[in-house]
Amino acid sequence: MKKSVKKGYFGEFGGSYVPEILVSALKELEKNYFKYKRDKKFKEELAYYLKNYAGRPTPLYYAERLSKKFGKAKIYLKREDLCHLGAHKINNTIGQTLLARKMGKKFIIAETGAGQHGVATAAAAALFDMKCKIFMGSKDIRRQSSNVHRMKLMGAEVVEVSSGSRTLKDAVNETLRYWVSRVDDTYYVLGSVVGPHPYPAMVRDFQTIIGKETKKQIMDIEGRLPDYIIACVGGGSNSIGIFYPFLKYADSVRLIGVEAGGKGIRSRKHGATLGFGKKGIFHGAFSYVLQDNYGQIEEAYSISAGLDYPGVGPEHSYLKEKGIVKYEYIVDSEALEAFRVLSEYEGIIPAYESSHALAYAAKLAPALDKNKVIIVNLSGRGDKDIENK
Amino acid sequence: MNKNKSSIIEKVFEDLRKNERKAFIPFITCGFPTPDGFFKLFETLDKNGADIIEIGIPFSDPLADGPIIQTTSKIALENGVNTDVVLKSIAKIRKSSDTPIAVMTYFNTIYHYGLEKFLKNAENAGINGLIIPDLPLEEFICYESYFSRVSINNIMLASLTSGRERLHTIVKKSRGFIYCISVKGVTGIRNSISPEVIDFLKNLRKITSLPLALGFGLSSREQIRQIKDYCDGIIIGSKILSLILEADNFKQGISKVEDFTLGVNNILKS
Repeated sequence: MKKSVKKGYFGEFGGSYVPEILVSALKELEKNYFKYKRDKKFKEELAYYLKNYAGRPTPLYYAERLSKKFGKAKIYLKREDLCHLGAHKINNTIGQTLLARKMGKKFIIAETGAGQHGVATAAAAALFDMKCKIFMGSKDIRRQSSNVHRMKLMGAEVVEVSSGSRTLKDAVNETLRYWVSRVDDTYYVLGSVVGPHPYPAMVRDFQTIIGKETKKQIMDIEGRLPDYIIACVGGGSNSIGIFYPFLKYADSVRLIGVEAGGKGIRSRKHGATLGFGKKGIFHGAFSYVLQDNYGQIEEAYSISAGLDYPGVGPEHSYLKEKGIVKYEYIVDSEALEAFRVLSEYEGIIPAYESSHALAYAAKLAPALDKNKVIIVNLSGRGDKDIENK
Repeated sequence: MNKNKSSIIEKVFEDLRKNERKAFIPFITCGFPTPDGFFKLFETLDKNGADIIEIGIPFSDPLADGPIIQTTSKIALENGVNTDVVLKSIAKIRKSSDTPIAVMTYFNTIYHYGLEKFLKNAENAGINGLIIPDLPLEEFICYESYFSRVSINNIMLASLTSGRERLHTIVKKSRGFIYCISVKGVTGIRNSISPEVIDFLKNLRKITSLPLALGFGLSSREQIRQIKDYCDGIIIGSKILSLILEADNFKQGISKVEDFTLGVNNILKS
């Protein structure tokens, strides 16, 4: 079943496998996105809010004590945890909400798993005075009650999703179903580089600021590009964001995406979609998917709610197939250990998601020389994970 | 496209048209409420005047479906239904019924099975049409050639938001009938029909001679009376499945489906 490369595809991955009702809305979105992407005023406005509201640029911090703890290589942390609201998600929600406003949409909807994207969407909606509904699985509402509270404080309505596994996968389903019924006046702010075209490309573009800043910062500090960049991969937005400007240097800069190994691959309770999934169609795109022998979507598992997703962005599938990015996995216990170590050695409490990337750095560093440079994308802070213990 | 092969589904509409009658197309989920119950439900619809029967292969994440079909899909999956079971069930039905069958499922189940193998096995099992709600025109085109090798009709969906240009291509690529979506929304029970549906059907009528079957959100006799003159058939799924879901027991559910089917058919055949 080979297909030729066409618009909205990364090699054979991507596309737009959606109900007919959504096709026109996605085309409208695509048209507007590509228009405003090149619009000087839009870019200025976006840059203004990223700087003055979201707090960019975020620092690239040399974690000296952590580096010594792990080995000889120098470990830098890209501090996305210092973004407003504590994660990289705000880069995307400001961009998309600005776009929604330009498109004349009145309502904003979004899915959320752990609540980070929901919180970032609620904030952007408050900032730009738009009404906002966040769909969240009832299981996640219980697990992440503080984020539910934050969303409500910022004026968002949190809609409980009690279908299916009652987590992120079902929240996406329900947001899409709702969008089908309000497609004329409602804008769907998707939180990761997943879903139908143009979302994977658009969300990547909004997150690429992470990589652009990183590249400039490491050149300023070290005078050269890093040897390794490590980022965690759920849907894959923070990782594609930091990788993207480095893809052309992939011969010398090794890019490593870290998936959730959960309770171990053999337990079948994991979120390592690229590592152990199969190709298929899920949430509107052709990509790798965790699924059974008949193409039924399986439930993912991870201690980190943000990596607990049975799909992955189509561009990651492409980068895997091309061998441009290497994808590894880290199990819950290793992530928890990295979470503890960073807190103890640097006074930085990382999100469980980002702890997966850190844990991989811990595995990698001991075998490297002291002149090697590793950058870990610290995509979010871990307060949410302490509160919900 | 297999324009040369005659379509059994289109023939049903042709025959009905001669008497100014409309097709009744119920939808049921294979394996719901139980594997045996499904056969009984099929038989009930078949004996009470269904012209074409739509059978769903359950999928874990049915994006275009509302709560009722989500529930029946979940139950069917829990009952162990998978693509092979559906194909076997239809082959079994074919021993006693030749009512045209259209299968509805999401693309991942078919992709995973292998499209070529699926179409071949589906044809052998006696399936006449295929409805894939998450395979819109742009994606279908990549797989079109597979359909030309079998006698299975690819039934495409048209929606209120499709736009003129797309509708022209959709009607060209579709066979069997055009599945016209009556709502901006997912499947389920609703009480009214939006006036824009009538214009939508009138416009479609101008651009195609293919039968127009209306579905999504149809459940009451009143709705059907209101709309039937503008289309060639009515698709009802959630309402029928809800009669089984809400009944005290299966026998009672079947008898309610019987009454409902007779009532609907009276309107469509008068």
